[in-house]
Amino acid sequence: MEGPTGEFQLENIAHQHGIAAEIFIPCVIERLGVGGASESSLTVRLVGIPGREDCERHLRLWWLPASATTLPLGIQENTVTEWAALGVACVVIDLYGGLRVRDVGTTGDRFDFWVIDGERDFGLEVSGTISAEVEARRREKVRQLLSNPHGLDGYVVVARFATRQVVFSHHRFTEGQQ
Amino acid sequence: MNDQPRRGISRKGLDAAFEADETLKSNLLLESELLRATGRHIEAAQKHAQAAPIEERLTTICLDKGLLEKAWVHWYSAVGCWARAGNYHTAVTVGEALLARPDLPARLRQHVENYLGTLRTRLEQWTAEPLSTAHERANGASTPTVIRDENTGETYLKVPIPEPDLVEPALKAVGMAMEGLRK
Repeated sequence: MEGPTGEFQLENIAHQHGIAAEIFIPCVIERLGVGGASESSLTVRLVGIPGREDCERHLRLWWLPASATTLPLGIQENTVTEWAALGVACVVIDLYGGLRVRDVGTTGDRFDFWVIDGERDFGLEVSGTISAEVEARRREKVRQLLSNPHGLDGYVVVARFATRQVVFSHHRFTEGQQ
Repeated sequence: MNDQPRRGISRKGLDAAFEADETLKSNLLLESELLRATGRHIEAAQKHAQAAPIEERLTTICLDKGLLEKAWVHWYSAVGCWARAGNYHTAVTVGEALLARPDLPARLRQHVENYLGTLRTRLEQWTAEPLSTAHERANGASTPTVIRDENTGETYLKVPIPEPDLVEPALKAVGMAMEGLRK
């Protein structure tokens, strides 16, 4: 399924959210900027996003060479992958969902971020993988999101960096489904 | 197309000052994650200790504005922040105050009760052990253990001892005393 192409400058995540999202930028570049590249093409699948048909979009994500800074010493590979996914999530929720990250989830929330649509807060769970199967990971993350103690609807973003795939989906909380 | 109303938490009436505090707290938590990821756990805990009173302040503002659902979020988060700061006593105290609210939703109440159970266990483990014991363990000392000989099935008490240079004179003195008793 082919879809329209969009583009986004990665550095913009630093200004469009209510958190210091710029800390994710070096991790995104580490995972997507192979061989010193300053852009990457992603396939983004949208599932159940309010106000949108389910579809696939092509996203050209680009960044300034100066943003490719050294990662903090001692940071583990799986953390780099997770934070790269958080950075990608900051891009796609803004571009395709009209959402902003407003707050960081804490112990017990069962998701990574609080996002807002302008009026209300929702949960956002994000996961990154190099090559694991996307749908299995997404199902696991949906279960986690919907076990949140607040009984909230929310969103899931899963990024698979080996194939440059991203899935962005919306999920409704139903009492008793967990 | 999915156009049904979504179930979210209202933030009606919250102003820019509230958002500024939310941002400050969120960034403290992000910094904490960064520090934890690079093995700097004490500094990470300090960030949570800074975030916890901000969460308490946000809770109070939400309660004053009648935004109960949002107040529960910040209140529960304050409990988590105190816990991750290593301050289990305050975490449990703040959590018990949350549970004392009769209007706390049942689902959230269950989560808070479970979490407080874990925190109380941690607090008990920490306070039950004398600090000197914890210090010794942290410095490599170990406690006596019972071991079984695989060939004979007999059990022995294995007692850790200091370096031979230190213990040998003491063992010699005990041996001499025993000899003296036999005579």
